[in-house]
Amino acid sequence: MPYNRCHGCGLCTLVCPAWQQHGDVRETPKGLARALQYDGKVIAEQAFACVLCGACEPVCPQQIDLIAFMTNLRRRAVRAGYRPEIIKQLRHDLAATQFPQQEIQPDKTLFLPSDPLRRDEFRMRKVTSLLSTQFDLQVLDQEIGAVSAALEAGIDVPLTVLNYFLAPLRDAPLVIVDDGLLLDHLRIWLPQQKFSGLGIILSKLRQIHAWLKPTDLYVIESRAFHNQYRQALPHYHQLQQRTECKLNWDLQRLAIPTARTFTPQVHTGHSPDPLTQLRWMLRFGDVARIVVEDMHDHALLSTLTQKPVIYVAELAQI
Amino acid sequence: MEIPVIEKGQLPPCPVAADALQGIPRQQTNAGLWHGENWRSFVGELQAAGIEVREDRGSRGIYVTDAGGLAHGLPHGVMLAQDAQQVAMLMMKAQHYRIPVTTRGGGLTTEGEAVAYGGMLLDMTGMCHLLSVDKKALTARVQGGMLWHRLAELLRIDGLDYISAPLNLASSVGGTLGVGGIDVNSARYGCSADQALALQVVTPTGDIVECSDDQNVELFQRVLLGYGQFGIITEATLKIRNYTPMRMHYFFYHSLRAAIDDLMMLDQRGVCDYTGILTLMDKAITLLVGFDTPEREQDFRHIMISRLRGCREKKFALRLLGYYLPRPWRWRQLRFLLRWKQALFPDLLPAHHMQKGVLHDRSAVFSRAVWKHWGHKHMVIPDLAASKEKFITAVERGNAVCKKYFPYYTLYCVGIKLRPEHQPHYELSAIPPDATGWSYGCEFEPILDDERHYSRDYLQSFKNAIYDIGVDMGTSYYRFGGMMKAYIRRALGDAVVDKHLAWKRAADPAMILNRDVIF
Ligand SMILES: Cc1cc2nc3c(=O)[nH]c(=O)nc-3n(C[C@H](O)[C@H](O)[C@H](O)COP(=O)(O)OP(=O)(O)OC[C@H]3O[C@@H](n4cnc5c(N)ncnc54)[C@H](O)[C@@H]3O)c2cc1C
Ligand code: SF4
Ligand code: SF4
Repeated sequence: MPYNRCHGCGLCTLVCPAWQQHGDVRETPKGLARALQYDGKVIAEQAFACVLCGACEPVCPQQIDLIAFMTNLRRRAVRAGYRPEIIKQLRHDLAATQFPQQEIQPDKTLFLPSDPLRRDEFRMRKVTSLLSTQFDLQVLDQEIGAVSAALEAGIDVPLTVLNYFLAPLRDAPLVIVDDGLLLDHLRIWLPQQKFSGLGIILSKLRQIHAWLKPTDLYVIESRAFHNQYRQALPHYHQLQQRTECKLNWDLQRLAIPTARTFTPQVHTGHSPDPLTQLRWMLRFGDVARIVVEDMHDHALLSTLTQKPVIYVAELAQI
Repeated sequence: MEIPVIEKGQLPPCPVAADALQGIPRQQTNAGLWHGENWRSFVGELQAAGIEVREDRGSRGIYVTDAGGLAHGLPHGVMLAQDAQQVAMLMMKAQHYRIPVTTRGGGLTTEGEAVAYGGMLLDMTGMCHLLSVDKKALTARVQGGMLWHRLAELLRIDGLDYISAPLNLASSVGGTLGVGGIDVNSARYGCSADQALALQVVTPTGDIVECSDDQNVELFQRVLLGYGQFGIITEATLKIRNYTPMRMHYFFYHSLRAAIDDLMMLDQRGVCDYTGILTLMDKAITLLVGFDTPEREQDFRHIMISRLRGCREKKFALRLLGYYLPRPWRWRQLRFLLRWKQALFPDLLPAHHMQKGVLHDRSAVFSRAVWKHWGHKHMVIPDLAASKEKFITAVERGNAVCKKYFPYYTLYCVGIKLRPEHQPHYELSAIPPDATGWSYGCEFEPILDDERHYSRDYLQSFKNAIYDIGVDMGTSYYRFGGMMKAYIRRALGDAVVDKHLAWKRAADPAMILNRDVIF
């Protein structure tokens, strides 16, 4: 649904971490959509306060594609010259991305890991062996960081790059994607294809959830969660009931984001601060350990807290 | 950096004033446009004091209408409230330069009360902090722009909750205390305004005053349920309670009268913690009852269920079929009823909010369901509030009006427990003057979708027809703001209105604060 269907209910505002921290409605989907409805113009910095966590999208009663709305605004800002030096660098990184020729075996489930996971041999091995217990798996040896960063910053991914990137994904029966923002875009680019986030698949495995404890804070990766909200919601609800672990949920059962981004340089001073987000997740106390679904979150949270932060796959005793 | 023009939205480039409807006169907020005399000097002084005034069209356009979407107006500038001192400075300067100031919380009014037809729009949501909680006394001090959802989130950390708030969590504490605030537990606890123990108010002349039942009593009485006429609520001390999940039951009725009788009976006996009626037209009438504790639920099961005239779902479905089967010309309506029931009821008891058969965070659940199923660019929710004695007639007359105007609509009825010691607060408010013990409110809400288009005139004339019932029967109006100027005099009489108008003139000599809403 397009943004001009916004009727200003404000539900997106309530769940938006940028609004929760800074209280300025201009930086929320409501503020941006209403301003555009009236005037057709907004200030670029307002669109870059958003961290694309996706919490606003499932609550919007008008079913407006709010992530598409936000990224679209950014694309326009970038085309009009927003922060040119940074954008130039990100474009350069994108152009430098390698697309290795890899033989894709049909009928295999493809796994597209995030860059930090690929680089981390130990954890990567854990994840692939866990996934292999469920799927006939092939790992795609492809860097995705520059594509994700470009999407986040509002850079148009050139068609040639996109074609290279999507080519191996087209025929797989299922693609498991370890990046929520990419997942969102892949669903748009290849609407016929079946995708899933990594976190939901791992946390469904007995080898994982059997080890979750009531004193764990389980940090759902917010972008992937909100992107597949309908399927993910019952699963995480069950996970919580079964294990009694704490989830980074708010009253509406939306995932409180860590607010980490790939491109902090393009964000503004009004983007939510991760430390405040972490404190909010820990508000109920009684957390001995933090379990994260995402390697970027792992790196970020490890710097923000003394509590042990472990990557979800490490729970498995294999 | 400005993002270049995207395709324009749906709003007209030149917003129309509230009274610009052709054909059907808007009897509600008949605000005239204010044209900007002294605006620049006023803004200059505020800016010199370090106060940001947003004057770009985008920032002002956010506030061009309210949830009603029928009245449009554009302020000259917007100020995001930061603290009482800044708000006080605004009011002092505004009084001096005679600049209209419209206070806005969530902006969820439906008659344009929170829309500025020129002048300054004060966005209170910048003041959205929980200042303190007294866990022993069960009170919380919050800023006036605090949104109920945020408050619920913050209180939950300590296992606490607010007592009652609109089923619309994007509304603010300040905006609600001025209006009333009705919840499904209002028959037990009273309206949200009844939960306020003390307020910090910025008066229309820019003084910061603390008021309560013991301190500046008159101001307290005027501001609570005062529709923002006598001051801006910058802080409030609210009664709160321990958080409890909710145990819910539904009973189905064919007759509005029987359902309302049972609702009143339950309220009077005080056996339920939550009560309300939600209907689909006058065909499927649902009495909703809820409990905070298993003990209360048990008592209800033992003592009350057999006395209710409503039935459970299966029996009702059979009766409904019995009614519709011989009437094939009404099957379309039946299909609609079934479709709605299938869509709505799971959203009222969503699995992910249930634990061991008990509903958690009801406020978030109901608020999202309200917007999902009733949300529209035009929220048309005229309402009536009446004494117990007049209520059934008022609902039946309103129901007849709904039938005349729309194929599909809902009614939502709840009781509001009255606090005798709060009579002075109620005088010019949602609480009808002749109500004792409880007052009852009913919202009449067409189900609007994108398939059928109704003109603004049509929607307005529907609202007028409902409000006219109130005038005719001498009732008040559930959310009060809906009635506005012309109706207030006609329904409550000149004597009361003139008394309050004289107070308003004394408190706000330039008549600038939320002007044209009531007086
Ligand atoms: C879908 C929907 C559902 C609703 N459900 C309910 C319901 O269940 N129960 C119910 O009671 N109401 C309900 N309402 C009505 C609405 O939510 C209430 O009127 C609400 O409490 C208004 O709060 P607000 O913050 O949006 O106030 P606003 O709309 O912003 O303002 C309301 C009035 O108060 C004034 N005001 C705002 N802030 C302040 C302040 N800090 N100090 C002084 N004056 C101020 C404004 O000028 C205005 O006149 C509903 C409305 C909608 C659209
Ligand atoms: S995606 Fe997240 S940060 Fe961005 S507007 Fe939505 S809720 Fe706010
Ligand atoms: S939730 Fe959707 S309809 Fe409501 S204000 Fe936000 S964008 Fe608009």
